[in-house]
Amino acid sequence: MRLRVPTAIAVGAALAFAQSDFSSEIQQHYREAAEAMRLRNLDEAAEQFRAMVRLDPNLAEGRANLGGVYYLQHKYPEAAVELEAALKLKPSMTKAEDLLGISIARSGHLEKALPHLENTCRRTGENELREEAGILLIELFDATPNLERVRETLDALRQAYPDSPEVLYVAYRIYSENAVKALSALVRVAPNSARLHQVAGELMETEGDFPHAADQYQKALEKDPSLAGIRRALGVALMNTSQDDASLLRAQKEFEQELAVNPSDAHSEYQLGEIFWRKHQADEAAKHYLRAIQIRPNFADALIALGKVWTAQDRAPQAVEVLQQAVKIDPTNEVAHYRLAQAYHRLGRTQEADSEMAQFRKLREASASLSVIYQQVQRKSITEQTIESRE
Amino acid sequence: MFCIAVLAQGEKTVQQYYEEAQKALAEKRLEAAADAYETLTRLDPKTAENYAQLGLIRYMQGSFGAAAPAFRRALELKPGLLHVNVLLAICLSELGQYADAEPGLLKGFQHPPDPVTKRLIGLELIRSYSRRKQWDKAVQMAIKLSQLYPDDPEVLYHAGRLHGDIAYQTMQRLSQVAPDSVWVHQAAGEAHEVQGQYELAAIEYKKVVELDSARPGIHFRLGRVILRQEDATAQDLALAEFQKELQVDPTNAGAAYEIGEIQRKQGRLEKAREFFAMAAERQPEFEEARIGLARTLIDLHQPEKALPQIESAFQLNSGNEVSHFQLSRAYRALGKTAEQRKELQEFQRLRQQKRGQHKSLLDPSFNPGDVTRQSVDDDTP
Repeated sequence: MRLRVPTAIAVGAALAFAQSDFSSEIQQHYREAAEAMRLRNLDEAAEQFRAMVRLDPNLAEGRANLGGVYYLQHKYPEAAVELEAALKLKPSMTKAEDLLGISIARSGHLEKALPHLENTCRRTGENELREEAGILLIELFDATPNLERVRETLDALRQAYPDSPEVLYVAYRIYSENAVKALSALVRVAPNSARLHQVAGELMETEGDFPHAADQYQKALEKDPSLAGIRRALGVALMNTSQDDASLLRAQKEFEQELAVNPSDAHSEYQLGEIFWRKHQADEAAKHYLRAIQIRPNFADALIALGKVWTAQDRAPQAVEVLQQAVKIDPTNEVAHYRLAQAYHRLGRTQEADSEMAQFRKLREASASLSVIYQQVQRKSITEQTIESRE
Repeated sequence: MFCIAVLAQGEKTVQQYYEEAQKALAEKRLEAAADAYETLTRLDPKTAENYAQLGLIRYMQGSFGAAAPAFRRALELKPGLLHVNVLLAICLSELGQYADAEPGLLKGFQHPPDPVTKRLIGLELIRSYSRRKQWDKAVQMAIKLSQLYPDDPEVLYHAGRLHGDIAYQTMQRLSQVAPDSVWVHQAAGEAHEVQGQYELAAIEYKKVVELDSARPGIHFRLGRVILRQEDATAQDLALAEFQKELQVDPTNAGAAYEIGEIQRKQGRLEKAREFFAMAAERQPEFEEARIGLARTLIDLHQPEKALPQIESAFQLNSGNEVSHFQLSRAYRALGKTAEQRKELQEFQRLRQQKRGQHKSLLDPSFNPGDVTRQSVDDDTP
């Protein structure tokens, strides 16, 4: 995984090593370097710092600044040489070590960079380079591979920078790669297993190919009839394949059989509720939704579905109760907010209805921006509650 | 799996029920056995083992809702009853009562009755943490299980699903905090690329370029997906992107390598040599760059200079058929017939072996942003 190279480091940070107690010639070069930096003329700044270093090769600040400029120029091997020299001359220059670790890593020597990157990540206080160092550490551990260290570093980064797009992107990449690796290993160790057919089915579902997904689940079922959840998966795929009575009946049988071997499968109860709802048998649907909630009290979709039924049956107060529970369990579920808004509206609680509708719109807008990128990892094990087009 | 001893009761009726239950169990008539134990718990409500056995039968029937209270009662009567707390925790987890289940599951995972149960508890914990959105703990457990059971299809399946789910959650968050950002477009491009939708990937990568043309790595990625499109101008367009990449990030060995490869394919061997050498210098452990440089040097009639490059490639990966093939070419150019023949045989053996291998859609070697692999297709004798 190739991650980004830092695009900007504050010029002030690179110049922070400058001192004022040197010869006038050195000071002149420093002033010119500072001016060049102010004008973003990195070539000139490098030239002036080089001149300083020529005059006094043991001038730690000069070498650190030269390294800093090389760093900004993406000349990482050259930056590493200067920063390493600076650090030897003055080990207390933590900023130089921060830049050194990143420069060594960017030069392709990740292992050599490890101790410096770890030091940067360990240091407390404001440090604009810690995020970058952490990301490079992840790259390093990922290449090793050391999954546990990847996880630890990623968790620390996500805690420190919860809303950093770059950290989120890196996390996305790591998890996607791990998912593919695990499934690839499954292909290797059990090429004809029920689980592999299940994975194939899930992949087909993400592509919207429900008939072939159903075929794969059928094969998985033949391989291992005791595989928990496989009949339910088959039933869901069948329901998505066609809405005709025959498909619904077949799906219903699958859910019932799943419950026969796995009576605690709340999802199958819920799916039966969905089937009866589609058949316009609201009372029967509610019974199954209730049973699903009895088995799994925190089942958000079942609560939403029950709320939907009760709202339709003029039982808005009860509907509000279960929908509030659903919102509490899954606050980002747009359908929960929508249904709650409907229930409030029925009760004439306009202000609360408006608030829920606003929340619904906000969430819908966010989810609309999620594009195909999620399809590869997104698969629903149940029929999700949706808002139908006629509503 | 679990063996819970049930003490025989002195009273005749109890004894009869007990025998009836045992017989039903031996004959695998679980419902009849459960009925008998239900009666036993009424007749002898102070015996913990009766509840434990009833719980176990309900557990075996998959009736976790009925098993849990029986296990709970058994533990109230005899808190130290072996493994019952683990079974109760599994039941609670199956019932979706994850918070209540976790302490027992964790204890069970640390001190499992047997390896089979440890694995089961681990899988329950993954699910429990996932459902409670404790992704960190779920991943930690998935990693542990993957290390303990590296070839277990069930573990691999759940680990794959978990990571996929978290990737999805992460993208949701990313789209909330930075919609229409370079990160979202780049991730979209990568997703298209993985699925082989190179035109769509190029569109997304171009959006990234529009937003941040100096973003390191993006011209390289764009160049790669352009190369994969079957277009007459693809090589030239890709070449321009790789060159832009080197302007942004002179250390990008992949871009230098791709330029070398395009130059080589277009017959500009000196240029190819220059860029392959640059790539190998920037990233000394870059196997493909070493091979590319070696084959270019052979074409430039400098086979002796090619040998150390192939040696380096071998050190990185001795099983690469292309390295053996190029070495055979170098030996041929140097007039070393016996060595040439030996390398050619090794090349053919490896190629045969590769053909027999199962090629998967989920090829783990595929990675967006990877480089063009060296092949022998265009110069195999």
